[in-house]
Amino acid sequence: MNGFLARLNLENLEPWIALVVAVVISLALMGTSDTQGTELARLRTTEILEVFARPFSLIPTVMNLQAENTRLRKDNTALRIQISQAREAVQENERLRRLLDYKDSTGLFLQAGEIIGRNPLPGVHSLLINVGSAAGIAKHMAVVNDRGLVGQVVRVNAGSAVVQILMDRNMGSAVRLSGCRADGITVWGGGQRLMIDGIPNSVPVRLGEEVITSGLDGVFPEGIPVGMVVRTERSSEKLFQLIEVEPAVDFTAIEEIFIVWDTKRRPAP
Amino acid sequence: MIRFLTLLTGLLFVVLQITLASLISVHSIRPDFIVIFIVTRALIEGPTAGVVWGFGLGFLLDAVSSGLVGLGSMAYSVVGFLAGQVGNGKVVSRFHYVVALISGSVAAHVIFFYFTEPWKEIGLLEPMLFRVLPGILLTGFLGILWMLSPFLRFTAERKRG
Repeated sequence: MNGFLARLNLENLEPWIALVVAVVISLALMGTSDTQGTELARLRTTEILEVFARPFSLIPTVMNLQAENTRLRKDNTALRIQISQAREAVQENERLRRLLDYKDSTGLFLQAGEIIGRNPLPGVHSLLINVGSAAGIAKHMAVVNDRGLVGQVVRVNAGSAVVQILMDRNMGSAVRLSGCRADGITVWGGGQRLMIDGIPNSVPVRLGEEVITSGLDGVFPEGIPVGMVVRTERSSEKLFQLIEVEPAVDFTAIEEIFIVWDTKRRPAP
Repeated sequence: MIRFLTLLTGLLFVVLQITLASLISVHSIRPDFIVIFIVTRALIEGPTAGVVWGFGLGFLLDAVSSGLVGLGSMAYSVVGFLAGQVGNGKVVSRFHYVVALISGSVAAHVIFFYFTEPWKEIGLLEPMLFRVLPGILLTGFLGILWMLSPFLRFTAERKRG
């Protein structure tokens, strides 16, 4: 036994031990992703990295034009959501013959934010934005841009926040097909594909039908554009049809985002 | 002082990965600057240091992502280990660098793909061909540019000396 141990060169084993230790710690961290300690460590690390990342996000542009552009995009986003909601309201009213007292949800308040980092790891799709709890941002707030739904806030520091976007494996939102009125849940389909899950084969889904948030998840306000149906597929072996959606937002070219405050959480002017 | 500068360079690579990688992506295929840095360090310092660098930088990226914490640290630890084994801390040649870069890049992309993509639903062929492989090639291309940079030649020669 001693001879065997003596023959073992500890120097050769060192990298293997290091690797095993690293993998074991990593797996342990994966199992404790949601604990308070891990969350705190993430917050502190993000705060430090944010300081280094901020200068890189400052692309030299004419400041006035940038400010005006931000304002116009903000207005545009609010108008798009309002148009979508108005369209919804009309359809709802017609269908229910004015029996519903439609909830007034046009009082959305949008807060502009800039992206200072994105997609740190392959396959993990998130954004680091430059507004945080100091500006009143909280977890689970919806994030949109001038085209539609981007994602939701999942972690907040004082001066920054992490946004999980729709194209992430762990992200889903309650949506509605504007034509057939069917409700489903979005699922990332890999790459730039978005799928809708939970719509039965019997529902007649048309190509080109608009997909909007339904508000049923309690996270995203109703009526935010999500995308458009580009493919449907029915299989007799499955209960639900496969619906592919082209996202309204081009996730490869997001420049500005807006955090949506609902009327209850609207900040003081 | 050199240790501090190396640490600062590592941090710079993390920041580049967060801020620049997406901006220079091609059809949402992004280069992995972290693999390039870890492979470089592992070749120069050996596999144990490669694992340590991989774990540390991976954890930093985990912190700013919305995914599982520990995923990046695990993937990049493996990259550091593999690259270190290729060079074994003794020889730093361009051939070793390219082999280490490709093997490290493949390892990282496959680990991330396994844990983050819905491959059970969409199958393996399409994402492997259109996302993983181009990602490996883009990282390899930028890694070779980094290899040809004066900074890396300097560190490589220093190690040989």
